[in-house]
Amino acid sequence: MSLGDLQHMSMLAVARLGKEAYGAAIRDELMEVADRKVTVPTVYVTLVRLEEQGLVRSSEAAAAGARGGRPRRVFRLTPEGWKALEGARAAMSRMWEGVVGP
Amino acid sequence: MKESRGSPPRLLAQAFRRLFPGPLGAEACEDLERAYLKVGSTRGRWVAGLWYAGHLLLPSTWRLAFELRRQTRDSWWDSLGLDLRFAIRTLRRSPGFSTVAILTLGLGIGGATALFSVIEGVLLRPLPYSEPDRLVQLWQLDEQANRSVFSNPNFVDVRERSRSFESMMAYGSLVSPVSLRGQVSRVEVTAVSDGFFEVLGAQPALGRGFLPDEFATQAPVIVVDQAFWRTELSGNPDLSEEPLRIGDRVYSIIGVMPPGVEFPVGSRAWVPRDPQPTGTRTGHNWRVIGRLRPGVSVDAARVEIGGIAAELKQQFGDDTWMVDALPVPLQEQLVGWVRPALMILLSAAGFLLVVACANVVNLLLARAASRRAEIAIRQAVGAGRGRLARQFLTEALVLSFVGKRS
Repeated sequence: MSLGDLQHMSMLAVARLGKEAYGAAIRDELMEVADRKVTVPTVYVTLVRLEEQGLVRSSEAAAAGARGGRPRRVFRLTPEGWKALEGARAAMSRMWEGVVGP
Repeated sequence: MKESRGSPPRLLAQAFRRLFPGPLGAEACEDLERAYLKVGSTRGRWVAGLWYAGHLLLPSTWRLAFELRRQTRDSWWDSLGLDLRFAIRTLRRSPGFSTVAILTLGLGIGGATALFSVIEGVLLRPLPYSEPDRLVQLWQLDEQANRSVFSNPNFVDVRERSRSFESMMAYGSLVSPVSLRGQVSRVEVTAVSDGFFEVLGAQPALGRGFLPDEFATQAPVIVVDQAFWRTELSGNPDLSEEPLRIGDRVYSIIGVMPPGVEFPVGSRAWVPRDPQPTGTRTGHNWRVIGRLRPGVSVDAARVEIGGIAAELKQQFGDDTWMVDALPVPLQEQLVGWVRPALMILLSAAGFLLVVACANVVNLLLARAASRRAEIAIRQAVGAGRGRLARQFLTEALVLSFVGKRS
């Protein structure tokens, strides 16, 4: 399965954040690490669609102080998601082979 | 826009909460509010407010609203399945309550449905003829306004002079012994004048109708209805093979009417007759129906044939009793007399249904009171009012459905 750029980045953010991969943290990761300016709705649309495609799965995590004690939805990669990420990395590596700088 | 210190404009926040349903939507709203605070702390409240409001114009906002709604709808159906299974389990656990409620509802719904079926068939379903609203039955009226059927010459004169009718025909029925293949059965045979097929707007589905000279000569030809053809003639398409005897006359079957055409009600076969313009005007032999011209109202036809009747009275004096004539819409003529009785019965059945529903509501209320602990537990684990209402509604619907089936 080929991944869109934002999907790819979001999945990497999920992988990097591990048990802390909830919506706001993923957006922060995209903005701070990947330097991508993404809006809140864009992040959630991407996550909803990734979940529909079976690349990530979400579950309610234990209450967090930041949400007034209410549980939040934490995302994690599914085996298919890992496979898609590996595939994307391999394709990227192959494309970089033999590329020389200007 | 009113806003409390440190939080985004209230109306906008509410709009986002409405746009983004479900727990994930709530989380997105909270993220937006946190981002608003962050923008506000660095660039001021007004800029943050504009930044926040600008999200309403973003395509991604509406895409998220759509996706979340789709998800919510899917989970709504999933939880409806859960509610249904739970309702069935609950009802099976209390068979006494379920049996009484189902029987009560079954009685109410069954009575109302049965009666409505009768009313739909008798009063609401249009007559099975082409443009049945234009069909009227005609009556002679005497000086006491008593209705009577037409005499030969009165029918012929009214038909000739009237302009309100596209066609008009006279008929008379008689139950006769009909002999076919040596078998004799009693069949209602109707003698019809020319115009029979035109008035009803129906032609034989098989074979042909009557020719003009067959009326004048009262030819021994007969058209039968679909049921007679199927049962007595075994649906044989070759009509010439089966001569049919009525009394001492042998008739050739020349046509079969289409299914559903049965006029007058009960008639199984039709023979041609010619109402002679001669004879007494005080003999009453013919029932008459007519098809109004398009756009002519029953009232207008009433005025016209009333005038013709008055002319005939003036012309023939005591030789005719007819002083007026009355067209009655055919549907009203056939079923009008039964309408009040059916309406009273329908009201009674409706009342019975209301009583049944009230009884079941009482039963459900009593049962809900005894299920307080269950409701409290469901609320404690997060069921909202809407969710609880839907569960009880599902139970009521299951009861109604089973009641209807029983």
